[in-house]
Amino acid sequence: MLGLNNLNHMNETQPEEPDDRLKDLLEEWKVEGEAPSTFEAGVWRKIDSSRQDEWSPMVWVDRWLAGLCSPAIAGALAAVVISLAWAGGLAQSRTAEAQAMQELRGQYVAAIDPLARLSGWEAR
Amino acid sequence: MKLGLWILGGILFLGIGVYQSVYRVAHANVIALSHGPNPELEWLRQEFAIEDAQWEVIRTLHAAHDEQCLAFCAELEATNADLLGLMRESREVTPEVEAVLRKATELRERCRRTTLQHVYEVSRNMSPEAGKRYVEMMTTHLVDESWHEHMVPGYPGNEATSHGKHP
Repeated sequence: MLGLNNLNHMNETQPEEPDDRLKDLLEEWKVEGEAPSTFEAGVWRKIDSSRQDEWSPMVWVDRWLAGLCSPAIAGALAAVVISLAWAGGLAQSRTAEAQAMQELRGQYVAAIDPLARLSGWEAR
Repeated sequence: MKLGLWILGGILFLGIGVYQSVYRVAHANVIALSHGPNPELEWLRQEFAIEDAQWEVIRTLHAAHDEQCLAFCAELEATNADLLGLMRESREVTPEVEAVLRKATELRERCRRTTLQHVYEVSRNMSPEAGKRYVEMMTTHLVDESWHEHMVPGYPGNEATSHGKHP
């Protein structure tokens, strides 16, 4: 009870001078000069930039597709895709060729060996 | 973004076209070989790089052996049918069953011997190196009863062969 009385007393006796001084200063303060004409555009650019810095798949895809409009990037990608397609086609044809050769080898064995022929290779 | 999508689609389309073209061109030889009149003989010719003069002899040998082979096949089928009938009728190994078993075994031996003889004759009409490789390849098949499993690509120890190279 004694402590509460002391606190109330302190609040009543506290000077209000700092608030008054701040109030006066704010009233006196005036902006000198004018903002440059590009100020607003610059602010929006910064806002856009900060938005784009946020990672999201759509932003990434947008940027990537926009990059493809550059002839150098599109050309490089085309070169990589064509090289991979060339190598893939060649590798696939070699695998298929080896498989076909194995089949033909089996057919030849079945053609010269009656036992192999009867074992049903030709029906495969 | 729309232009980028078009460019990306175009590049992918180009890639698919290149893949298909390369595959078809590189695979054309095998397709022609597989769809020919005697693909197995054409395989033999390509695999062992047989020259024209040798090829004529080998074709003649093959035709003669083919007739024998067909006769053996008919005989084997008949013997197998007899054996199967007797085995199913009997409840013990009768002299008849034994006789047909013996006949089937003898027939199989004759088949093996005739085929082996043909392999040697064909090999003699190849270059020494090709003939040696041909005998090695064919005798492997003749001895190994599960030879047809070895025809499956990727089977252990059965690497893919290419023209004129060792398996």
